[in-house]
Amino acid sequence: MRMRLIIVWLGFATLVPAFGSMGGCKAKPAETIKEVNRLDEKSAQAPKPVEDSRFKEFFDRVRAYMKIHDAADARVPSLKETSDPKQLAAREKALADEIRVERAGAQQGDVFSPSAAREIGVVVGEDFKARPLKTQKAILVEVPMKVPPAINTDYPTSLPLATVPPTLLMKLPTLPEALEYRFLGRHLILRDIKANLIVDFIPDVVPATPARTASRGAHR
Amino acid sequence: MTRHGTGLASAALLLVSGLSLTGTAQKVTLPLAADSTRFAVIGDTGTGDKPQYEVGRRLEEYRQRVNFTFTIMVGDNIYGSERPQDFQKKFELPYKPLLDAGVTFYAALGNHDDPNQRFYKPFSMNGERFYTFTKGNIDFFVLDSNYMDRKQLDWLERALKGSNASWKIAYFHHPLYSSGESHGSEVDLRTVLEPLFVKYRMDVVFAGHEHFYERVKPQKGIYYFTCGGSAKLRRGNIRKGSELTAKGDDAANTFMIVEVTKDVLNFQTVSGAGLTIDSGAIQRPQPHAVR
Repeated sequence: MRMRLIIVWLGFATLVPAFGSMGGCKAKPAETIKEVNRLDEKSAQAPKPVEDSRFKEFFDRVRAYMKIHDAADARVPSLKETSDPKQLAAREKALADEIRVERAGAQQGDVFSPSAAREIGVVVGEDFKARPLKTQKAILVEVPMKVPPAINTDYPTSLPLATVPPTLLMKLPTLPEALEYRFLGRHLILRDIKANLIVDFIPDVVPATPARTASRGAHR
Repeated sequence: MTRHGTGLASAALLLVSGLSLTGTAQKVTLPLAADSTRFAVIGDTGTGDKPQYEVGRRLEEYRQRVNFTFTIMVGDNIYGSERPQDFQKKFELPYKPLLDAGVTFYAALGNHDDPNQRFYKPFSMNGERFYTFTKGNIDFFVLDSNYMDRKQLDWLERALKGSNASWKIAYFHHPLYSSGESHGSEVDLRTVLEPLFVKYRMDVVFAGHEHFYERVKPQKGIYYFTCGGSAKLRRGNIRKGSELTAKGDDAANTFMIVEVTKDVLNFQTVSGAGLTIDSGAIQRPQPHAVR
């Protein structure tokens, strides 16, 4: 009886995909998800402010930056919904200009404290090394490689804003909504989203090998 | 009834008619039911080049026939520079007839889009990188796949948990499954999104990024479409013999028209020349089905 049930079940399991594949599908099962496709809960724990002493100084500096950002934002016509793209461009620029004035003379490393830069460098490096070379290249294939980051300059939005892998993102210290991490070349930049401004960067966090292999400026 | 795995989920696919080789321009394969919700899908659009305008004209022809009221954009809405004149050349002019007819556009951000596009009113993003909206019996979940952080994932889970709509449709730029030679499946993104999609019974997912059309065989009960060829085209880029592909076309610029009734989602994929590339219907699972 049990054997008959198994046979019936196997028959059903075979027939149903075949039915679903009408319209030219092959009967062979589609790609299946393996263990790699499970969210690694441990790696998803991003360091939180205050709780993680390794990043205390970094979070203090981020808060200080946000004060500048918020004050600047209050002084210029704020970005809000508009049908006029001229206003979008003008307001983004106005905010960036205000911040540039407030942060005149800002240097690389002003926000990423040395300890945070070190820790983040280790996290990014280990993440890349744990990925197959093909995946490393895939991450970097759309990263603009030939534009060196410079503090207080605009991110070149005519180039792609390359995706930061979500599983890496979740290992990095959590940022306020106004800021984000991005790759620019082999560097990790801290970008002010609303002002489209490069706030700071950690140089050469991405291991050299994949950067060399992903040699194009920006894949389209 | 269970919808777990690709097997039983595939049973929900009622009909797929495949390529219409004789494809008649302006042929509509949708049922055009009285109480349905109709929309268009376009992706990787913002070039300002001839193919985008051609697709725009074709969309208007189909709007007149199908009367869809909104369009979803799966990202790369404005390529290259984003000066005010670029918004005109790469969005407002190609879709002027649709905009004039009152068609609403709901955009997702692609990797070529400045996130400040969220403040551009015609994209209906309400100042948000990720958002949700409801049309008829459908809840749409619009994600920013360029920056899938914990905050966005938490938001998505809350939004999905609170959704009681008959249909749940997500769209964003990067495809979780793709047979593209250039990019392929976004496995890292899939790692974080798919568990939520399965848990909260996402029905259909639209993406772009790959400059072609692909209907993927159902994965864990979810239907995936890539519609990233509405202006750009990566000819010959669909991996031949891919086990993911249910139907693919990398020879023409394409857009999709979708019609959703209570229990069935009908789709028609059309080329810029007006040929029907793909069409079919997806049956909604039983309300209490378990995946």
